[in-house]
Amino acid sequence: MVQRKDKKLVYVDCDLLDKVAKMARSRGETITKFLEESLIQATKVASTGYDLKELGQFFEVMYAQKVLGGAFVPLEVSNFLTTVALKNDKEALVSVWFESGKWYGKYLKERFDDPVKALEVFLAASRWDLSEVEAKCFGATMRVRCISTVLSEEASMLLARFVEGIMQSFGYKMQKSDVLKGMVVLDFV
Amino acid sequence: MAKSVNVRRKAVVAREDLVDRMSVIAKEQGCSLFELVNELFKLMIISDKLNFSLRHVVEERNFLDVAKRCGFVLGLERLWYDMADIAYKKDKNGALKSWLDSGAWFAARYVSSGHSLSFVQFKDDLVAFTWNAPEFKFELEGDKASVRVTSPRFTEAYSFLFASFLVGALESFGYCIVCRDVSRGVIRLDAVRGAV
Repeated sequence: MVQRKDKKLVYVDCDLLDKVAKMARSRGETITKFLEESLIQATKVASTGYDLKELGQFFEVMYAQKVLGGAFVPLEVSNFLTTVALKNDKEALVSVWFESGKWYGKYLKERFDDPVKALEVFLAASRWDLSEVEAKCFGATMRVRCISTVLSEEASMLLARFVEGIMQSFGYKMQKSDVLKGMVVLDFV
Repeated sequence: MAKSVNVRRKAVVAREDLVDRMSVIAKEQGCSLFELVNELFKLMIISDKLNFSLRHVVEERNFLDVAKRCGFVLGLERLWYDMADIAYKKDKNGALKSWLDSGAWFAARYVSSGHSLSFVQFKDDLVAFTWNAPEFKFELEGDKASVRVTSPRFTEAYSFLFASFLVGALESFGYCIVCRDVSRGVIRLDAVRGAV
């Protein structure tokens, strides 16, 4: 049992504290109790090895996925569908991926203060067939880079079109594209 | 984590043991306690904004990891449906086999664990992964299993392909399908363990 005297002061960003205090009040709890419960949860989170910041970003993206109609499919099935669909109706499929990207991009732009960062988190969170995902600024150029050891050439090409669609919705124009089996490097201005 | 210069600070009181634990975590993550608690507050604000608890946020993250381990990828369902339609139209047998094999592989992971509750775990995970179906009932009674999936968004092709996945999974557990009723957006499967 923890005694009353076993307390310590914790310093917090004033603005954040105001927001959290408001949340606690709306739930009819004191900030101390609310903070305590959150600290308990946070220590549990830390024991799982997750980073708190990463967790928040992942959750927001997962939420967006649910809102937009995300679905799980076995990777093997995804590869099969991609191969067959591309072989038979490449133009239509490429267009579907591009349009889906544009649509998704519009949502990310509306929903997130930093949509490019959200795109990076979205790809890292949902496309675990990608071993590296990076969206980085090089002067006036925004580079999106995805690397995978398992992605087929066809799937790489579709991913590139999907990302291009998203970036177009953010207002970027593609300047250069390098798409190989398992590697997508796109530069936008 | 973000640098914490020129930020107005306030002190709050918290349980010593929890603060100490957070200090250790902060050290492990290479940041200050101030930065870590701020991140926690940001996370709380995000989850509250979306009407979820912090616990739920953690569960969702765990869920993603499980899906990854089970060989699933997450994408826009509309894309899957469109691709499923094309594949089913052009190579129906190949598409059905691909889903059947994936179902068998998915279930085999649980079967091979040898755990007495492997089927229950399999069932729970499968229902969770199929969040795009508003109704997914998976009932067990003795040696009988019945699966009911309803989704107005499933296309006809996707319905048949997903049914094939379920058949593959059930067969891996030694079930034999005795009744199969599949149409656009509706899947009904009845299976009996060990039936010929």
